[in-house]
Amino acid sequence: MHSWQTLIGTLRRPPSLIWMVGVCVAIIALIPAIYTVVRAFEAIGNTPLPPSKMLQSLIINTVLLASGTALLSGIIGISQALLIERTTLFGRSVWRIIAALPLAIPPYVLGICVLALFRPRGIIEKWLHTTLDMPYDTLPFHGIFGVWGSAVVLALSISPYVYLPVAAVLRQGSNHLSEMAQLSGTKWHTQLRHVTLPIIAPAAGGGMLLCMLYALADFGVPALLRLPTFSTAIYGQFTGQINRGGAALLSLPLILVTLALIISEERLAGRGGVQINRSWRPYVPHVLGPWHWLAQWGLTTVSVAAVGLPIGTLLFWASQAPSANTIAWGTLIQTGLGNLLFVTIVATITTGLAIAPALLLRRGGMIGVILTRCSQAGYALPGVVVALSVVLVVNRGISTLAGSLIPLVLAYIIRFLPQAVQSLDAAFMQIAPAIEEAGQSLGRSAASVLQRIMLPLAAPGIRAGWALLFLSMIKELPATLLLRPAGFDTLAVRIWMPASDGHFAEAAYPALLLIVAALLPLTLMLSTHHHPSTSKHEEAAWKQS
Amino acid sequence: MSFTKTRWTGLGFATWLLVVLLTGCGTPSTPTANTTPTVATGSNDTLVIYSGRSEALLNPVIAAFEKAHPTIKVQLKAGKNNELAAAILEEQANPQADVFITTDMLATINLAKQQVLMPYQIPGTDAISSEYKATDATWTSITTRARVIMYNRDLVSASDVPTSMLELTDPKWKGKIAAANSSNGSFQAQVAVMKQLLGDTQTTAWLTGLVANDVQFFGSHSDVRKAVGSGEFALGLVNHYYYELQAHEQSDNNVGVSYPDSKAGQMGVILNTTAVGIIKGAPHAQAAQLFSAFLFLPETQSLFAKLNYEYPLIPGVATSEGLTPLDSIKTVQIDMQSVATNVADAVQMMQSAGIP
Repeated sequence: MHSWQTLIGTLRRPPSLIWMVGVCVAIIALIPAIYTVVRAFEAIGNTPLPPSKMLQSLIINTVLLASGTALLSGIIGISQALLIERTTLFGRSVWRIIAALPLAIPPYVLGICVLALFRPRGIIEKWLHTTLDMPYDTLPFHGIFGVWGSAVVLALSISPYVYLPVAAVLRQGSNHLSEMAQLSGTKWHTQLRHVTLPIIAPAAGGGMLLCMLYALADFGVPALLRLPTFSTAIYGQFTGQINRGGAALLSLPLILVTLALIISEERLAGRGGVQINRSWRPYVPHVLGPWHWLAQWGLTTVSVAAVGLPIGTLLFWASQAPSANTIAWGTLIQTGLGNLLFVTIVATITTGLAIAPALLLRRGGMIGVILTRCSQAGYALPGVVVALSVVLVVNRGISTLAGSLIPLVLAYIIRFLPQAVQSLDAAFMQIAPAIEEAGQSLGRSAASVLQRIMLPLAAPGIRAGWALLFLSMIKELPATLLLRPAGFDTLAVRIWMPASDGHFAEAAYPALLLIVAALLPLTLMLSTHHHPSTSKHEEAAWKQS
Repeated sequence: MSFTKTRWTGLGFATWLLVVLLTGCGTPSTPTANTTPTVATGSNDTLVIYSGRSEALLNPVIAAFEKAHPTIKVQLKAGKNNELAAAILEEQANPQADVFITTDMLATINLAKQQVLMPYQIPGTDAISSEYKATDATWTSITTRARVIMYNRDLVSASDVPTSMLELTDPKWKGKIAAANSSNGSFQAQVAVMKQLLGDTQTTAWLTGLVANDVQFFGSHSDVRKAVGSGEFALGLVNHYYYELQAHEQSDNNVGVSYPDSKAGQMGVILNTTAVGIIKGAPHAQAAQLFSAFLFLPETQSLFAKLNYEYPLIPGVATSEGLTPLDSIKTVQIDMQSVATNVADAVQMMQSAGIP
């Protein structure tokens, strides 16, 4: 690690164009965040503070939801990864895909289905009542509301954020330690505790923190399952009052909590270090034996709840005849295609903008790192707050743009830039500095090295990052709800509007379309994950150095 | 050395951009910024409507309008009254919306005070009583709605139903009431009216009583009516047509309604109106005028009455069958202009009481 850094230090600095773009991106990303904080402090004087009781319950709910979601996602994701990658599980290649599928289903779609099925007097309780004569209120259907209901729904939806990195570590990571433990006859649980878990800890921790950030920011699920959190409260202030002060004020604690989490993520990521694949050998999987059925059952239950249940419910609604006639297919398909085009363009712009910060993080020294961190301000801003901050800045600075598509595009860029920078950084990380240095020492300019060496080598990683952006953007809800110009619709909005009015059947078609649309980038992402081409680069780099 | 030079170039550029962005605040923007696709070209083939009414309740009217004016394509953004009012204020420099439809007269009055609505004498609205429209013709009420308590007949017998809003704080209803939350314009207006009629102390006590009674506050009245219809809650605080919509559903329709406080000595049933205004500087002003006039055609008013069970404001248009006639009960008589100044305080009271 140390020698890499000195090596990087001797490299030529990035060209000034990269610096300029990096600075611009940092400013675009940072100004709304700063301005929201400024407005929040301004509001302290002249906007009445939220009552402390309400603030207290918001803090408790939000923190419980975030930790509960992280914990459950961790349990689900780690178990899935261990069972799939480290045991003689039947059908591993199929399970690998199934475990990632929840990414294609937005949490609020799962939330809508769970709500309709499990709410008190919902589809299931009514069915029990009418066909089995079970009296109402026998089963505690109220349990779906509140922190645990929301945490379970969120965890089922976003556990792939834990599963994917952990499985990748288990698949590609160095196995000689496990092998040694196996050879010396250590019991499987000792091996798990002392070898496997420490190896996956950084990946799992990073994934769980991502889940925490997601839960802090999520609007749809707590709004559906009646859990007041900061996101829903800010949304309420935003939509319920003309004065933006209250919304800015409530954003402040959320920004602080999120910042604290990001800083701890940095720490955790730093501990991970680089894995050395000198002696990669296939792992000898643990024989499940009689436990096989239990493992299959567990995996099936989770996947049925996360994927089968929403898709089944949506198909059921879609098949309900009366609504099928009233669906304006032309409009819906137009919305879908427009949505795909919009997301494709914005994801591409965001990826392009992220190149500069990612390069500066690699080679820009102290200032580069600071600039990159600035461009990741969007992490601290949940969708609702990004929308608010863009509105505040546009309103004060460039008010002619208010109500147009530009604020929405800006919000998407700010919100998802951190993800793009991180993917690109990871992609560039796979390229050994030696290769870059070789290009430069042969007289190539920095720009030419970027164009002819860095970008082509990082292409698989960049493609996967783009796919992840596309996936996140097509599911985006709160910022789109608040900032969309009249006549601009996304599939997410077409799901949310009827569903929030209780017209579930009408929400089913756009939801199914959205899932199909999300499957495309997911396939792209997974195919990149499965080809260990990136680790080949890394190995090649090591041999060279 | 050249590295540091590039770095300084970058930093210099950053400072320049920062200065431009920060000083740009407040200075008039250049016309080159006017290249957004939604900006009007002066044509009237589009009409942009901001609506505080939910999509489902406005779509039939929009469909009828598009049928009557096939050259005009309507673009709708539905949201909360105040959300869209704030958007209209923020878009003043470059208005995007043509027409604003609100579900709350008070929000309309307050927005009109900000000089963002264009006066327009809508044809066919002369018969509407003056309290229901602006003196400067910036807005006109479309329909009337009443605040009512709906109930599930399986859970509550007609004799037990509260006959006053004030009874909702009775502990016997603990955990059994559903209502909208504090971002809802109709609920905000109700509290503003109660504040005017009953005073701060009693209104605050009522609001805290609701919270103490574990009232479930929903994001929309549609949630409320469905939850009462299904029997998840016994009572729902809604506008009257939500009761009617639920009663006309295929299932979960065993619901009843109480028009509260309508007896002598009580404060009266709280009324509110939906209203329409044209945005000053509307990019498609002509279409906006056509649409405004369309809202007051007897056929359209009849649509509101039949599909949404609202009280039409144009005389001679029949209300939906079975609707409690407003002239047969005591309703709140109050100067809405003065109530409108209460709204911000009312919302604050709701939130201080703990209503999300």
